[in-house]
Amino acid sequence: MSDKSIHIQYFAILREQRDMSEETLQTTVNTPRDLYDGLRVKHDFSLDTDRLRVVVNEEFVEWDATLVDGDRVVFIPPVAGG
Amino acid sequence: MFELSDKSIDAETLKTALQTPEAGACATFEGWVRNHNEGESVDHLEYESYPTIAYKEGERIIAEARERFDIHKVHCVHRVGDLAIGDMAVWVGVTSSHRDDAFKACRYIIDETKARVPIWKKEHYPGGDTGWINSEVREESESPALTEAAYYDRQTRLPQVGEAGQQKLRESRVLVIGAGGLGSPALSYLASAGVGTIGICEGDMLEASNLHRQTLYRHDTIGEPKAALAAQRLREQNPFIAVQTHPERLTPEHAEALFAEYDLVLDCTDNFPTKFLINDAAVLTKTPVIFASIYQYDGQLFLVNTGNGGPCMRCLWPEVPEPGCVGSCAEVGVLGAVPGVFGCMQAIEAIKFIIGLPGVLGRELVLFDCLTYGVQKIPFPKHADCPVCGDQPRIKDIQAANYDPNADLEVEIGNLQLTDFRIIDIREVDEVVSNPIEGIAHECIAMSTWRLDAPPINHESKFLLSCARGMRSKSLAGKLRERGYTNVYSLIGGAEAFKTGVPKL
Repeated sequence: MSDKSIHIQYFAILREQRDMSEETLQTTVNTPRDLYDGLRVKHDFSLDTDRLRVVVNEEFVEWDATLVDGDRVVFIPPVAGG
Repeated sequence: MFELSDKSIDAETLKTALQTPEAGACATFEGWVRNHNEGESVDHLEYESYPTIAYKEGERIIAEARERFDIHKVHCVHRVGDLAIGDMAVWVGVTSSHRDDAFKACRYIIDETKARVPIWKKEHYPGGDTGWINSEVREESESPALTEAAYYDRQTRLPQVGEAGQQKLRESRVLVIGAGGLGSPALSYLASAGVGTIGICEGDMLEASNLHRQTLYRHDTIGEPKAALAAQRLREQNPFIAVQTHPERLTPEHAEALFAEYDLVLDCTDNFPTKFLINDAAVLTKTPVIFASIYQYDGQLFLVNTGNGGPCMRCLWPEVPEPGCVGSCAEVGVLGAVPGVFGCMQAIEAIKFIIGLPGVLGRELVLFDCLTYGVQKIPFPKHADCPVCGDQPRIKDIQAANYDPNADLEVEIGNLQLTDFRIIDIREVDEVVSNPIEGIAHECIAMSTWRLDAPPINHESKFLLSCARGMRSKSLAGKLRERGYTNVYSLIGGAEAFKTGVPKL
């Protein structure tokens, strides 16, 4: 399992719960699902992947897509405020 | 009704005619002829009117009062002809359920009548001199310098807009749903851009906590219906457009019919059930909708235009998210300028769409973060298995149960983070004494002491009501929600649930 550098952006309730807008992590995970599940445990995110969409390099992807070094990941929760 | 009369006014008879069983208040105003005006002695008066316009304007004022205030019967009569000192020149009477609306409506009608209804008075001074006095002339918008060409000059100068673009705006009909944080700037810029017909769908009354972000409103109109207030503000802003109000929440029953009246819709609402209702009505009626939603400092913008083959919101989020899983402005707070930015973006997108400017959103979701100024435009594809716009749609018509804003009214203790709530035990004192809730911070306010018009809660926190089993708390929470307290919940199982449930602490 090789180490990769992944840039992550958080929006809405995730930004609030992470208390930051973006960060770059060194990780060995291979999919957005594993990446998120790890972060969820670490930062106590309230939403699970069923409630979120994930974008990698500005495209919506499935949770089991493959991550590679340098990918830019965005986790997007639904938002309703106005 | 409004009338002009050349006979003396019989106030008692008029007042009797206003009586209705539901009226709890009657406010009347009488204007009398006085013996002096601006330092001059006055002998008697003559009133003259332009009846066609006077009746039209008088009826319009009464219609406005009905829109703004909750009133039952109205009568306004103004004298014409010769009047002596002490005669009654004008009489206004209004009935309503409560005194506040009666006073306000009566004041509104007399002020507007004096300012707008074309009635002139000729004063006769001792010694035989006379002088015509205008009706209270107010600054009118129809100054010679105000022309449509001048109003839109800076916009029609843009080569991509021009007079042709202005004409497209003039002919367009745009419905804005929600006149709040997003709706305020969106409505304001659509009006000033010259969108010919603007509809405002909004059922709420103005509250103090709206004012930091809802810039259409004045602090002295708290408690009044936002749809009428917003419409009045837009008419003041631009006299060349028509503004229609739909002073109610968008409901499954009338959504499709309402959409059919407009070319384009802006979703400026703040809750998922309504957003999904708007989405489904957009797909089913093939009406384009520009959506925006914000959360604290960031937000999302996208266009749903399935008539053009594009995706819809359910391609992204197939089902209405569970209530409470992502917070609302009332729960998590918001910086007022953030919906300001997104409401402006909706107005820009609407104008682009109507005129056909370059860069109209297609199949993209725009994410914008006001903290980092990071913007992303992510293509979002149409989903073949979308429940409403996919190949085999499950949703073929609007079913009310799919959009019930009270779907989250009753909550189970095992799913709750109790520290997120202010818990109120609404049981009566003797019940509490014999079976208290222990070990959990809460207040006790017996249900028999609650006044629905002044409940002991606010819009700032989430309130969890608990009774013995969850029946009374459900009933009370439902009534509070009808009064706009969407932040109230009822605990299933009541006091028993605190003993048997497994709350997260």
